[in-house]
Amino acid sequence: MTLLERHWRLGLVLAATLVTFRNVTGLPFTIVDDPSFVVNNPFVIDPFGQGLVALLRTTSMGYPHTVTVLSLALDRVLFGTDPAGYHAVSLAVHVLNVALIYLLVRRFDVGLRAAAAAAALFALHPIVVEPVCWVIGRKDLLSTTLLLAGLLVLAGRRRDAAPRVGVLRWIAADLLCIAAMLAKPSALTAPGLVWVVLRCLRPAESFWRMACGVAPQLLAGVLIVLTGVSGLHEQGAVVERSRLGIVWDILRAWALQVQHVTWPRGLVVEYERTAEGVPPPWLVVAVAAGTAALLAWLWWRFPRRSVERMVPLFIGLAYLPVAGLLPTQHWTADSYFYLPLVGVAVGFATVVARWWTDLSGFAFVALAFAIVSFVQVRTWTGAVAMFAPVAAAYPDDPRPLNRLAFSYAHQGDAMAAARAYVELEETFPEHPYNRGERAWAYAFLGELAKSDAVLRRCAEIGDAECTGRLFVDVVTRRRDSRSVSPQLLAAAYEVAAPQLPRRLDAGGLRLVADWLRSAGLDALAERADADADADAAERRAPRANAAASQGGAP
Amino acid sequence: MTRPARAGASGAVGVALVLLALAASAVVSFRWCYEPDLWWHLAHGREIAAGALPRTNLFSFTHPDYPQPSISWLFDLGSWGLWQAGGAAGVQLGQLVVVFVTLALLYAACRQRAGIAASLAVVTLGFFVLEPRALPRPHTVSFAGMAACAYLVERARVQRSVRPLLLAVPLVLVWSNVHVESIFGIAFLGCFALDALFRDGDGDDTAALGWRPLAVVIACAAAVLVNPYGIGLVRYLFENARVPEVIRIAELQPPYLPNYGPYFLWLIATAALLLVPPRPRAWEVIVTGLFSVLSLRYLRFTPLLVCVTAPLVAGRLAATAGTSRLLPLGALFVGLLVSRGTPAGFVQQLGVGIDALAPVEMLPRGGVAFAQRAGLSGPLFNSNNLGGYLIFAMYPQARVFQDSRLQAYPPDHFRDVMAAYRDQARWNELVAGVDWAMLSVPRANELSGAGRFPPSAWATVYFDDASEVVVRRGGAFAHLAETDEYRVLRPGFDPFAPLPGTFAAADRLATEVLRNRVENPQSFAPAAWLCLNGDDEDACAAAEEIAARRPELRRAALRLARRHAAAASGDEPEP
Repeated sequence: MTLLERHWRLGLVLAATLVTFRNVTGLPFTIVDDPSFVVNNPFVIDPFGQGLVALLRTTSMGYPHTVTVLSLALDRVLFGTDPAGYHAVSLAVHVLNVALIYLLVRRFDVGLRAAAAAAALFALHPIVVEPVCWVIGRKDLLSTTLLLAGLLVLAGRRRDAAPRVGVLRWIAADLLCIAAMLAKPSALTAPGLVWVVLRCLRPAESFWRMACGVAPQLLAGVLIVLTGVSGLHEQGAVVERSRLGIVWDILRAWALQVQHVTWPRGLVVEYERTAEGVPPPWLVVAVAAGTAALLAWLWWRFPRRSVERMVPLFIGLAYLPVAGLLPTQHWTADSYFYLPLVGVAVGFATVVARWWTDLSGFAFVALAFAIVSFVQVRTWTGAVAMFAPVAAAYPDDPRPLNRLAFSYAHQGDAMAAARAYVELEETFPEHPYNRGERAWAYAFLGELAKSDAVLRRCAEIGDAECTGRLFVDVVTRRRDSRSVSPQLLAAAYEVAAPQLPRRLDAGGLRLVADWLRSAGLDALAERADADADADAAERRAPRANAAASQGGAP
Repeated sequence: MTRPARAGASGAVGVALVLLALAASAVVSFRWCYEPDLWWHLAHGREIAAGALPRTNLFSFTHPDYPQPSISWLFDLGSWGLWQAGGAAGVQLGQLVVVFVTLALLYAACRQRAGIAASLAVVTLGFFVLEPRALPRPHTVSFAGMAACAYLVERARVQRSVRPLLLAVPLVLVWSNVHVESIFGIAFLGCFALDALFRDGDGDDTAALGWRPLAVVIACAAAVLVNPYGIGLVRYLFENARVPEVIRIAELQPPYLPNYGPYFLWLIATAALLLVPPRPRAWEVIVTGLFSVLSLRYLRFTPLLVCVTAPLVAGRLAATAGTSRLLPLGALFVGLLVSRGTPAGFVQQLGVGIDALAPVEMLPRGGVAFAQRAGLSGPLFNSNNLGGYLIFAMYPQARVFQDSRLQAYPPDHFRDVMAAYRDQARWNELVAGVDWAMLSVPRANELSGAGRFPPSAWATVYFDDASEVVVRRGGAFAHLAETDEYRVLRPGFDPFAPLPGTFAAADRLATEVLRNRVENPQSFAPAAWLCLNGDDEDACAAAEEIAARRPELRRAALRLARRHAAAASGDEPEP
């Protein structure tokens, strides 16, 4: 039997994957994370420019993403800032993962049909649309690739006579798993994943050999955790939550993931932790109880080292780092389940296939997944396409509406942006972000009194971002300076002044000074002039230094 | 001893299947439905019942002599009868019966090749393909006609006898007077007949039939002509195929995602199953190919593909996917997953009677009531999608400018409207002969006239969420402009917009909103405006109640509550 005759189903799955995601190469960079983590990321532009240690830590990205950054840097060399190339590479990595899963599943002595079904489940499930369509989702794709490669190295050939893993294999697997962690630290549990898979596939491997084998990974994991936690604190991405709140968040996120794996409709690009009743409490309780009951049954019914026990352990360990334990602002996302989906696919081929004879009819389910995924890709065609469904899904939450308003502005639809910001202000006045945009929106729509009311509130609570927006708008001629009363101008300037040099250059600051002077606020005008002088001097200094270093006159 | 028990079990299964089919039919029949064509079908039925079969476009003043074949006269008459007997619910019940018959015939056809599980699975998935096209219109009857053809073919194939096919002749005879797609039924039968004619293999199930099926098909072709228009029926079909050259209408577009997800799933699955051994018969390949091409070109044919391929799919599904009882559940899961609606959405859309069949936010029920109250009559300009309802509700008091009977007007009519829409002067010439107009509010397009009735020459005398009525200043109904004109309020107004600058303008606005609240009671905007600006607690409660029924208004309701609270506490800044 030729290779093609044996593995034609895999070929079909790979082809179906390419067809399903064929529109991916036409997608743009998203407004979320892609600008800062990909397009303008100094590590992507020049990976070694800040030194090797900085590259290994990538603190500005929160936690280490070294391998992902290197992969994106290679894309930048090849494709510049054309998103098509980045998306094509992401799709290629996903396709590679599909093939790797097929190979991994085959190590569990399952048939070709079941292995292809597992590959199809992983390849076409709508929950993978996010990591495939989002350029920064590369971290999930790559870490899964490297981890799967590590597992395959350890698993050996399917009918490998050697019951134990050789040293060279351990070294290769360790390197791959550490690289997976450096692609995305959600692969931190790689030692555990390696452990549970190997205990199932190679029962003869001793405890101590395995412990020695995964020790380098554990060490790397600890270092990454230490680096990552400090990075998160530096980035200010840590939020305060009570213990009960953490448990509830974890259960809600798990319920949402289970819901989306079993019924992948209504997937959006962002899920709001702060939204009440999503998912509904009864679902959270039902999923938690169901999971507990399933685990209890599996542990009672099946022996140690059985695949039935291995699968939930794999899913749990793969999900653990993104389960919500870490006190970050991010709650959950579809891409968080990319690696755990490997466990689902393995379980499908090994456990489910025993009850579902020949997996008959699964092809139709895979086809349905492909259609839903094909449609889901459209969500990523632009900022508004991304956030309009989120805003519709969470009408009681201000953040999606804020994002939608920003998306309209990003796409150049000022009227829609202004309306959305006004809606935000009137529906959720307490929302702390983008008050300045809301003041601008009222002014844009001709409601100056309301715009001033927002600005006054900003001045009262000391929101420098908001009050600073007034000066930016006037300097950029988006707002008429005559419409602002001197009292409001003075109050706004007092709050905005410390941040203005960051937002305006010397010319802009001089315009502000002129404006203050014309309003009779001479003292404040002098301060603005001083800021402008300081800014001009600051800008001259680097040029002078550069000229001096080149031996020229300043 | 086991025989009676088995019989009992099969009886229970049969009852369960019937109940399932009835429930499924009810879900697509008793639901919210925006169908502008239904209403002119009812108007035609009313004329026919009165003894006058319409042969020209008598409902329109623009082309009253243009030939208008009532090719679905039997459907029109039947629908009118149902309307007379039970109103809107009667029409919905009629649709339920047609859909139920379709599902039952499809199941019976599938059972000739497969077991219960596979047959039920195929019909379940087929239901989701039919669902977007299951509307109270004649084409729904064609689903049943095509399913009947499939069943007859399967019976003839299994029995190796032409006798079941003989029933196709009366079937086509009736069907041709209901809907023109009977011709596709003959095409389907013809493929089978030709295969039987040219097949000479021993022991083959169709070879034994020989020339006889072809004779039946010829008889069916003759039966097609037994209608008031004879060969005109075929001519109508060709004219219909050319409509997309003139205007873009939804049902003559290719199917698209996500609305036609089940169709694409069916199409790909059918193609894949045809590749599985044994090799399909020539007629099966031709029929699948023919209806695949047709349905890929025009989405209105998507259900026909299901009807002609269902037995084939069922047989092959049973051969490849086994006889698991979980197959129907799998089909239900897959169908729901790729369908346009959600399970909750299917339930939320359920509705009985006129409010479901003629939704007040889409069809001009309020506009017509106003026109009748105000004595508006004679020729009017109307948006294309409102014509059917106006014909039903106002003929002969009023005669429409256009409607969705695209064959009832010369193609140049629609070209002229679309060309005039791009130029105000040409538009003025176009509507020079009318003194009033009824415009669609939610469907603004080139044939709607939206934006082409400037306030300088036309006065808005009524509007609600579905329609706007304007009268010509200085025309026959100019007096209405004096008494009923909306001078500042316009359809689709924003209840959160700032008040006008002057007291007089604000006072006028308040007066008009108060009036609109009465004329447009189901609309959120006037209730919300009065809640915010009129200090009207009843309006606040009404706005809340309207928003509670419509999830898309959830945030608007929240905004209203916040602004209302801010205004009450004096936090709202004065303009």
